[in-house]
Parts: sequence; C-alpha cells; structure tokens
Amino acid sequence: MKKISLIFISAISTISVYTSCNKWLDVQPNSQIRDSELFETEQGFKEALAGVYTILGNQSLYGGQLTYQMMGVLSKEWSNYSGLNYDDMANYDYVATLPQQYIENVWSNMYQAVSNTNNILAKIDQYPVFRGDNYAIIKGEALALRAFIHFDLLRCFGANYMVSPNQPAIPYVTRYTSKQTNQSTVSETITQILDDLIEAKKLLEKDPIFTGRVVTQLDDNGYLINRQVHLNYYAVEGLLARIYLYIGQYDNAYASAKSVIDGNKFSFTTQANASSQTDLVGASEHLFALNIFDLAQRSQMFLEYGTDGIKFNLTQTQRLNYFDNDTDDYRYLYLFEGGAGADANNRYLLKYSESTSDDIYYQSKMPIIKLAEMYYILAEYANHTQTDALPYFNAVRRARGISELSTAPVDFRAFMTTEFRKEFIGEGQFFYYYKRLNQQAILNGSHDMVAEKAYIFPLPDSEYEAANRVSNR
Amino acid sequence: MNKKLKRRIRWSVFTFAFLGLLGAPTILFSQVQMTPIKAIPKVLGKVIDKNKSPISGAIISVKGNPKIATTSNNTGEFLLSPEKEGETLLITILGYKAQEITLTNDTKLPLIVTLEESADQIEEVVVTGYGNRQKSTFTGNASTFNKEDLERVGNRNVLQSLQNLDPSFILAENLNLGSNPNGLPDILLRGKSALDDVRGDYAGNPNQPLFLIDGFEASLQRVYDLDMNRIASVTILKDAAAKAIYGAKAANGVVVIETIVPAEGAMRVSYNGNFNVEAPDLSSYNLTNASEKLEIERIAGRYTSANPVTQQFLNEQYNALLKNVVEGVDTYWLSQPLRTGIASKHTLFLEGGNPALRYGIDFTHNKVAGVMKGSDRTNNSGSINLSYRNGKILFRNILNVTFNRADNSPYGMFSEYSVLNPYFKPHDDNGNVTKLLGTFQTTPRSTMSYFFNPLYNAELGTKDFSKYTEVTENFYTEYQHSPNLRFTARVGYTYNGNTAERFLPGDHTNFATWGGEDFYRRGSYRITDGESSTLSSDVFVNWTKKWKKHIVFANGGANLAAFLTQSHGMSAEGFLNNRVDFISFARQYTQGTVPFGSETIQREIGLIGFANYSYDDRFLVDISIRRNASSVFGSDSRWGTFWSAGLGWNLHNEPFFRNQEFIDLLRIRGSIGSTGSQNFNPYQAMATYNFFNSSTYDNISGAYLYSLANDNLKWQQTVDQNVGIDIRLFKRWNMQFNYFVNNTNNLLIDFTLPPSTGFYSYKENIGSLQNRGFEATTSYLAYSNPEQQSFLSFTAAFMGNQNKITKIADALRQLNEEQDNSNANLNAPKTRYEEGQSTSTIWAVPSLGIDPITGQELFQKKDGSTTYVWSADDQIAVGVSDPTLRGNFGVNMEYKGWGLNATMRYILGADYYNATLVNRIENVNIANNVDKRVFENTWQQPGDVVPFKRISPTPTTTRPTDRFLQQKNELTLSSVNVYYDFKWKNLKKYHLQNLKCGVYVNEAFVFSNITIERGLDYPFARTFSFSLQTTF
Repeated sequence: MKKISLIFISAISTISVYTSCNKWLDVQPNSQIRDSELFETEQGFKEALAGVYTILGNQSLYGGQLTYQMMGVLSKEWSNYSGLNYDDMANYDYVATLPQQYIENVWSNMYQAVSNTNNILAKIDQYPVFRGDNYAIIKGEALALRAFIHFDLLRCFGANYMVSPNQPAIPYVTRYTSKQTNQSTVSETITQILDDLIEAKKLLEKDPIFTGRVVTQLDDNGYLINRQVHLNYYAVEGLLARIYLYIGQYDNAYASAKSVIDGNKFSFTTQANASSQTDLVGASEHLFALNIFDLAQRSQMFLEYGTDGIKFNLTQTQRLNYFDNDTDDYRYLYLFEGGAGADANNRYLLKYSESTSDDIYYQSKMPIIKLAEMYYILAEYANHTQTDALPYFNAVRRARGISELSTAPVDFRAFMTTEFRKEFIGEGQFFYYYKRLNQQAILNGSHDMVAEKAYIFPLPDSEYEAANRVSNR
Repeated sequence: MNKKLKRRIRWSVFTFAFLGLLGAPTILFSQVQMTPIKAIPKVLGKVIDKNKSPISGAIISVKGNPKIATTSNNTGEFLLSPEKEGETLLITILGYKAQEITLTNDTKLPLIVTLEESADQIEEVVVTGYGNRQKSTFTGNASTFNKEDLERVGNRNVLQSLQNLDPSFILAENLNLGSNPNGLPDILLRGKSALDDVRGDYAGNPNQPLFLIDGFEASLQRVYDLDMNRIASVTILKDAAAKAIYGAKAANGVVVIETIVPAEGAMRVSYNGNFNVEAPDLSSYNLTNASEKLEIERIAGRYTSANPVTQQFLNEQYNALLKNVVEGVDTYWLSQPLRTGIASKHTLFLEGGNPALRYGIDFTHNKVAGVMKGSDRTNNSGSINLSYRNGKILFRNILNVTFNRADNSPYGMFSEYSVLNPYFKPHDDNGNVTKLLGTFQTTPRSTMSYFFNPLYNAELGTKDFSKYTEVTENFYTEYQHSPNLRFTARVGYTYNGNTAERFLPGDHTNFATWGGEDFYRRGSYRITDGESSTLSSDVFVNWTKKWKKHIVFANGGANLAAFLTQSHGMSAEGFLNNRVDFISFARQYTQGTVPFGSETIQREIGLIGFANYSYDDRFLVDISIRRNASSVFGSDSRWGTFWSAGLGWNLHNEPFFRNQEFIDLLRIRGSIGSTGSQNFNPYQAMATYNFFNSSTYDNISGAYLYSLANDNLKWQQTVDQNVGIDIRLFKRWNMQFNYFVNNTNNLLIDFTLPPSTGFYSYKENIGSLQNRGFEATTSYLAYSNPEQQSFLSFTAAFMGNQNKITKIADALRQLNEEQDNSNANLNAPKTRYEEGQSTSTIWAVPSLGIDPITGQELFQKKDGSTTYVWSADDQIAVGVSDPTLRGNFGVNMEYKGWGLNATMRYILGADYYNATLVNRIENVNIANNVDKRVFENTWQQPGDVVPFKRISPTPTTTRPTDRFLQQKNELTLSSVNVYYDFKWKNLKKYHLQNLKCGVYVNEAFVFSNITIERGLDYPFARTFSFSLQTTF
C-alpha cells in the first residue's frame, strides 16, 4: 500500500515537473509577440484583423498595383504611364522581368494576408475572450476577407469562369501551415468562396451597420463605428452580387445588389462635397474601402502633377472622350487637374488626394466596392432579362450631375463599358470587367486579349518551384 | 628483472611512506591547528602533489580491507571512516607512487598526504567540468593544457595560446581585422558542423565551440578577456565520449577552463607583470611611391584624351601633381595612423588559509595598446575565491568583477590610408593637417572626385568606444555522504551591462560633400546599450565503487539555465559643432530611422547520466546519456536525446606486454555519440507577431505574422565517431593519433515554401554535412636531468580535415542563383552550397589567361569552348580554402634556470583566392594607390604575355576566375619565449619565494609562398613583451 502510494506520488510529481518544465520553456519574447499571447485578448484579434487590412493596403496590392498602377495599365485606362516600368505590362508580356515581379508580389502578398487571416480563424474558437457581438463580427469579417482575397486572386490568376470552369486555378488556402494546399479549379474556387461568404454573411447579421445599433466613441473605444472600412454585412452582400454576376447567376446577383440598395445605408456623394474637395473619393458610396493611412502621399507620387517619377495620367483629349465631352460631369469637373509646361496637356487624377476636410471619414480611403457597381449589376440583370436598364444607369448619372437618358442605348455593351470606365477610373475594376466578358478587343487596346491569354496571369515561378502546380492558363 | 623492479618500487613506496609520515606533518603543517585523534575518528585529509596542488581521484583505502575506501574530490580532500584504530591507509592514484600511512594516536588531522610523481607513469587528468577523470581510464579524446603550457606559447590571451598548442583549435584568419585588440576572433574546432545562417538575420556563429569557465557557460568575449594568470588548466573535449555530457551544445566541441584553486598556508602574494610593445607589421604591403604612382596613372591613360581642350585640362592636373613629385612629396600614408603600442599588464594574487577556510584574491589590470593610434583595450578585474569545509560539507564561492573599455582609433580604418596616393601632402606649409588632399576631374564639366585626408578626422574629437561591466558569481557546494557517495550542487550567475558609442562631428570628412538640405544633417551619433544575464544551476550525485579488479564510477544530475539579452539604441544626426560631443546636441534622429532594439530569452533543462567502468585497468567503458530541452526548438520536439559510448583497451597493462621495456603506454580507444548545437535565433520556431508601427488601420495598429511556426523544429544533431591510439615509448616519446568522422544531420536550413503558404521560407531540419579528418600530436624528451632541472624537448602536432555537404535543400540552391544574379561583391568568389562539395569550396570560372592580342581574359566554358564573356553558369569548384594540413611544432628547453620555448605554426595546401592581386594590381581603381607589381605584369600592348589585364583609368571588374587561385603554404613564428628562473639563486634573503623573468615575441614573422596584403582594416602587429613573475 505504502509502495503504491509512493509510486503514485512520484508519478504525479514527475508529470507535474514535466509539464511545468514545458511551461517554463515556453518563453514569451518581448520584441515580438507570440500568437498565444496576442490572442489572449479581444484587442489582439482586432489587431490581427487590422494587420490583414494593412497588408491589403500595401503598394503592391490595393495601395497601387491592383488599383491605379498595374490594373490601370492593363485596362488601358491611362494615356500615359511614363517610364519603362510598365511597357512590358502594357503589352501583356507577363514573363518579362518587371511584370513577373509585380505579379509575384501580388501573389505572395495576397497569400500573406490569407495566412494571417487563417491564423485568426484557427485561433478564434480557442480563446473565449469576446465582448458582445464581436466574436461573430470578427469571425465574419475574417471569413469574408478570406473569400474576398481569393476572389481577387481568382480574377487575376484564374481562367474565365464561363469559358473554362474546370481549368486549374489557385489553391484555396484555409490553414496557417507550411503544407501546400492543392490547386482548385475555377469553379471549385468559386464554390469555396461562396461557402465562406455565406457563412460570413450569417455571422455579420450582428453587424451594427445591419442591425442599426448605434455605436459611439464611448462604446469600446469606437470600435465598430467605421464599418465601411471593414468587410461589413453590406460589403459581403455587394461582394456576393459581384461574384454572382461574374459567374453568370444573374438572379442571385440581382437579389444581392438590390438588397444592398434597399438597405439604404449608402448614398452618392454630393456636388458640394466634391467641388469643395471634401470628398473626392466618394466616401459615402463605399460599401467597402481600405483605409490606407498614407494613401494621399503615396498616390501623389504616381498620380499628381509635380514631382518626378512615374506618372499615370490622361491627355485632355482622352479625358473629354472618356466623359463623352460632357464637361458637367462632376467626375470630369472635380476629379482632375491640369499639368504645366511640357505636361500642360495632361490631366491628373485627384481621386486619392488629400481631403480639405479634417474629418477622417473622407480621408485615406481606397474604394473596393461601391454603390454604383450595385446599380450596374442591376443594369446587367436588366439587360440579361431583356428588361429596362435605364433607371439604374440614370440613378448613377443623376448623382454625377449629367443628363438622364430617356431612351435605352442602342448598344447596351458599349454604353455600359463607357459608363463603367467613367465611374471606376483608377480603381482597378475595369480590367476585371473586360475579363468577366472575356472580351477579345478592349478600348484603346490592340491585343487579342483572349488569344494572348492576357486575362490570366501566370502563377509565379517561385510557386511552381516549391509546390506541385499545374498551369492555370 | 621484474622482481628487481618490484622490489625497488616497494622500497621506494616504503621510503616515501616513511618520509610522508615523518616529513609531511612537521614541514607542511607547522602552522595548522592540530587536533588529537580520538577513538576511531573519521579521517579527514587531503592529497596534494609536491607543488601543493590538490590531487583529485586518488583512491584512499584501508589496507587489508578494500571495502573501506574513498576517492579524493576536486580539491584533493577526502573523508574516511576506519573501523578500528591503528589502521594503515593506502593512497594510490595512477601517475603517482602509492603511499601507506599508519594511523596512530599522534597522527595529526587533517591528514595531509603528499604524493610523489612516479617517473614511469606520468598521466594527466582530464577536466570534464563535471569532475576530473583519470586519463588512463578515459576513452574520450581530449587535450589538456595547464597554465605552464599556455604561458610557454604566448602571453596574450588564452585563445591565442590554444591556437599555438592544438591545431584542431582554429582561429579563423581574418585579413581585415589584423591585430585589432577589439576584434574577437571566429573560432572553429575540428571544422564546421553547421552552415552559417545564410540569410544573415541572426548574428550568432553557429560553429563556435562551447566555453565553460569553472563549470559554467561563458561567452567568447569573457574568455578573450580572461587573465591567463587565473587559469589552472584548459581542456578541449573533442569527441563524443568526452563532450556528450554537454549534449545539446557540444556539437562544435567544448573548451573547459578551470581557474586556480587557492592553496592553503600562510598568505602568499604573487605578482605577475608584462610590459608589452606592439609594432606594426607592414611587410605585406608593396605599394608604389609618388613618382611610380603618377607614372602608372599616366600609362593607364588617366591624363589622355582625344579632345584637345580636355587634354589641356588633364595636362594641367598632371603637371600640378608632377610638381608635387618633383618637389619631393612622397608621403608614406601607411605609417601615418600607426604607432608602437606600449602597454602593460599586472596581476596580483593573494592566497592562503587553513584546511577549513581558504581564500584567493586577485586583481588584474591589463591594457592592450594596438598599433593604430588611440586603439586600446583595457580590462580591470578582480575576483575573490573562498572555500570552506566543515566535516562532510564543502562550500566554494567565486566572485569576479570585470570592467572593460575598448577604444577604436579616431584615425578610422587602416584601409582609408592604404588607398591614398603618395603624391598628396598631409600637411600644409604651416604644418596644419589639410582636410582636402586633392581633386580630380576627367573633363572640365564632369563631377569632381575629392580626396579627403583621414588624418583630419583624428583631430576632431570623434568618439568610438564600447564598455562593459561583468559580474560573475559562482557558488558550489558538496556533500560527501559516504566514501562512495557524493552530492554536489552549483549555481552560477553572470550579468553583463554594456554600452557603445560612436560619434562623428559634422566636420568629419564623411560629410564633406553634404550640401543643400543635407548640410544640417552632417555629423552622426550612434549609441547602443544592452545587458545580458545568465543564470544556471545543476545538481549531481556521484557514486564510486571498487571491488576486486572492477572500478565503477557513475554520475547523475540535472541542470537548468536561462539566458536573457536585451539591447537598445538610437542614431542621431546633425552635429554642426565639433566641440559638442553629447547625443543631446543632435538635431534629429538619423533620417528615416527610429530607436531600435532587440531582445532574446532562452531557457533550457537537461538530465544527465554518465558512467565509467574499468576492469583491471585494462578494459575501459564510458557511456553517457543526456536529455535536453530548449525553448529554441519547436514545442512538439523540444526534447533531444544525446548519448555516447566509448571503449578503450590499455594494452600496456596486459600480461603479455609487461615483459618489455620500450613500450610504456599503449592504449587504443574508440567512441561514438551524438551531440547538438543551438547557436540559433531563439525565436525561430515560434509563431510570433510584429506590429505595423508606422501605420494604423481604423485607429488600430495592425499585427502581422512574422514567421511561420515550426512546432517540429528539432535539434541539429552531430554524430561523432573517433578512433585513437596513445603511445609512449622509452619513457620519453609520446604520441597520440586520432581519426574522426562527424556527420551532422537535421541541419537547420531555411526551407523554401510556395508563397501561397504566405511565406517564402521557414526553418527546417534538412541537409547534412560530413567532416572527416585526423589529428596527431607527439612530444619527445631529448634530454632530461632532473637534478639540474634541465631538459630539452620537442613537440609537434598536426591535423587535417575535409568537410563535405552531403545533402542540401532547395533554399540553398536558390540562394546560389540569387547570388549569381546579384551585383554585390562582383570581384571575389561567393560562397555556394552544393552537394558533394565543401562549405569552403572556391567557385570560379576556369581561365585560359590573358589573350596577348586583345589584352582580354579568355575563359573556358563548361562545354570546353572558349569565350571572352564571364558567366556565372560557367563557375566550377576550383579549390577548397581549408588547408590539407595545419599544425605546429616547437622546442622547449631549460638549463640551470635558463629557458627557451619557441613555437611555429604552419598551414599547407590551402587554396586561396588572392584578392590583393585582383584589387591592387589588375582590378585597380587608378585613383587609389596600387601595388608595385602593376608595372611589369599588366597588359599594355598587343603581344604582351602577362598574367594581368590592362589597366585603365576607369576601374574594371574582374569576376571570379581561377587565374587568381593560388595555393597557400604559410609558416608563422608564433611565439618565442626566453626566460631565466632564479630558483638556482638563494632568494630567501630578498624575502622572495621565486622569481622568473622572461621575454616574449609573439607573431614575429609570417613566411608565405604567396604575396597578399594582410591587415586591411587594421594592420597586423608583432608583439614583444617582458614578463616578470614573483611570489613573496
């Protein structure tokens, strides 16, 4: 008996020594934070989430390349993009050195954001540290982010869904791990994206922007006030509309876009706000925008007249052409400034310039999903169902200070394309617009986009080298 | 014959026992308090040699009753409980004559036993740091050096001396660092077992051996700054059987340093003084003088132009310089920042005490004055060593405090001087140092190049120093439970606080061309401070058992250790006034920087067991096992197991070997075992987050994953195999030979990941490396006359090793590619890692020489065709920079007090890429000074058959080519020491116990078959010193 208790005691003490040893060996660095330490508080999850959004705001992603830089060049939006840095890109020569580099950066940074998101999702159910609805909202946002990032990766690296849904595309990565994830086909990717988004939407029904709950600065330091810079409920709905349109599910696209508009949470910016340069970017129209803290300074280097460097701009002729010589258009009027000297004929985009207002609501925002797109989705639906698209076009035209149409345009597609370009210049959506339609020839372009496979970026070499991948093109 | 010998031994044993009884107590312990012996008392005693140094491991037993026995501990002390009165104690240990002492009522306690060395069995002990081991029963490969050995081959620092003693202990040659007293050397033991952190994000040296001082881990800096006079012995543990008890950290070898244990008696004061002179060694430089330089510039076409206006302009510049030359300006820039460094080192050591309480106190002041003006290193340190014994319990405490200050020369880098042209004058006509030496323009409109005078900076009051204060506190306790069983416990704590500052005022030539907005940014100040602390402790049980012919010695224990480091700093700019040299006068932080810092925490736990068994002193077995866990590795594979097994056979103790006279010792041994290394980034295996500290997202500072966690990251393991043989012939010729093969597996490498994982690479255990080699040492006693204390002996040692990468990961292949594409370091071979090649392989394109027609270099492509175009793809392995053989040899002699020790070091057959030829002859920037050989050996016109390309006014780049590969053989006269020991004189009348004076010359000459510039950023120095040792 005594012997047994002795063995028992020594076994217990051995185990406890062993476990306490392991605990002792689990050091907590000071100059970095271990994930187990970060996620001990709700604040840690918020910080990790903010980290993902910050990565997306990187210059090689939505801070530049995926909006006004590379994507602008690919959709032939710009008349000029001085310097040699984008010449190969403009020729869709994706294997040339610089395009390869830009594309690899898109790939690696997007997946960096994915892996950060995945770690949040892996940890969120392990740490019951949330107040109120924050668990649902943060998890919903993280799921939506994962879907959002993969959808844009698919729009870059996947074949057209309508044409070749079974073409291998991208890996849909759902774990923070060194193990490679298998490549999915285009349609498999879409399925996974939709699964995540639908789960996200369900969780985000607790989103204050949807419930109407009033959040003040006193409330949790104002977290949940600025829902437009997060993937909120309506952003998810808008994203669903965008995806449904992309895959040709017009009914679903209509329902989602309609539900955003009917939610009545977003409104077009006013002439007063645009003319006073308070709201050049159209903050009130954003279903989702990325908050990029130095957007004004950074975009200035590439877009505004003045300093040296690569400048993306339009000639005055092209500007007039874009806006159908309609010089009353607020976008024409307020979003451009002229150059001087040798650049006197160039027009520079002011969309991302510093707001004259101190209100942070109008500052440092890169639009990702906008209200106008919802109207255009409705218009596409109308066109598809042979119904009247005019009210949807006019809703946007009215807000931009130009004449409303009374008769339907003769060529819906040509009209839609020019309307779309006016609205989204410098936002990187135009290239995807062409891609969705798999359009062979694009405005201002001379390449056969389909034959040259210009709509599909090749997977970067580094991905082929370290993983088992098949061609996505 | 045999009988006679036996009789003689018996007789001498008897004599010594008698003498021991008679002499020892009276002579040695006249001052010691005496206790009369009581009925069957426990016998407390101590075993010492004739120098009063303690002898550990001696077996003390009761004659006729071997069950009652014990061994003496580290300090020579023992405790024995005889069963009855009047027993006779038998004290035996290999290497000493056995002694018998009969206990009587008059025997004074503590019993002091002085053992005589036995002439035919001089065997060292091996200090493993976990107790001492008899070399005669040890199967591992270790070399032990005592204080005298170290002093024989140098008086600079212990690292330098070890290099001269053991060729396996390699101080990597650093041509840039030269003899900079503030540069710590890179150390390798038996070759590389790990790859350098190729991505360079962690500064640790993964190949550095583990250093222990008095049983506790010590930094390289601490060993470098350790006063050699405090050292009692240094043991280098090389193979698995020797080092596996240090398990996880032992893969690169272990260096065990023990400091002096104070001896008891009346207080003795020892003084040791060294007066050092360092003289620069510029013999490797062969630069042009003023007229030669100008002529070379002319030949190179620096002053030739097709445009007449430009030609006129160039002529004017040429004539101005020619005027200088004609006027006799010929500045020897090399000597400008140099001096003969004169400094001294003083050590004072006080020791004494009684058997219960002993003390040792030492103070050291050591200043090293480098050969560049103002470059100094000063150490002041003191320590107190106390030990107290009460019955079965012993306490020992060592407290050491060191203050160090290292000043770098205000004259800047030596390389700034070696490039300057001799036709520039350093001073103006009034003797003031000029700031601008000259200018040059290729055309009247081109941008001007300036030549500034680095001597100017020395006058400005720059600051460049670092300081540290280190406190080490070690505490030991020992409990002798019974003769066979002993418990020990140790705790060690080290704290190091350090700071470094570097200030360059705005007037410094670095900022001379800063104008416009940058004008106010001139001047820089960088300040960093840090601290590190180490806390470690261990507990051990030690059990010895002897019965019949069996001896078993077993040890078990556990250790805990924690290491913390932290540093922070900032750099500032905008110091327009030379007189203010404090950081608060800065205008701002250095543009684009913020305060910086770093920190590491590392913890470890180990469980250790090791045992030795010997049968009849003939068959020997060593085994050890260690379980180790460290916070550095992944949470799922934190624990690693390390083990070793060794076998030995003392052939000379075999009956069939006893009947001859010439072989005194013949032992063969072999061992195998695994050890680990962990000089790695301590946070490499964890998922950690960093913050975007310069941006926020919706008012929240975002966190992002810094690396991909690898919960399975495990220990890098090295399996060592070693076979060796120890021989002694004719009582005067010692030989040892070892052959080893080490395989390092699970090499920690950055493993490439598909970027879709979100990361490009992470740490993985992939790849393996093999090291194989041999080492041999021999010593021969040519003459010996103990009565006159005269002898003559020769020593020699050599080793050779080859390392081979047996497996690598894709990440390293990719690294090779990246290197080929990058433009950095264009004119020297780059390290490439390829399977089947060594880590020291030199890669270059095979060259067919300089085409005499065109003056261009002709290369051979891999397919055998020839080309003028260099391509990274044509590079092949052309050589290995590790020498085929390295070693040393020396002579030691003493005659009636006069002594001479001389040691030479050599390396043979090392492939070497001669950068001097590239940078100073062929690839020259004609704006800078060049080697004289430029004249004869460069191509100048068609038909010239020469080894080097043409020189031109604009520097051309020579990419790695085997034209510059040479085989290097080098012989260094590393140390000469001449001394006189006054032991032959009667010193008593001067109240001195001993006195010894000597002269040292260190690193006096280097003979090399190839000519290379040595000491680029800091010159090499020859050291002369006078030393004085005395005790009173």
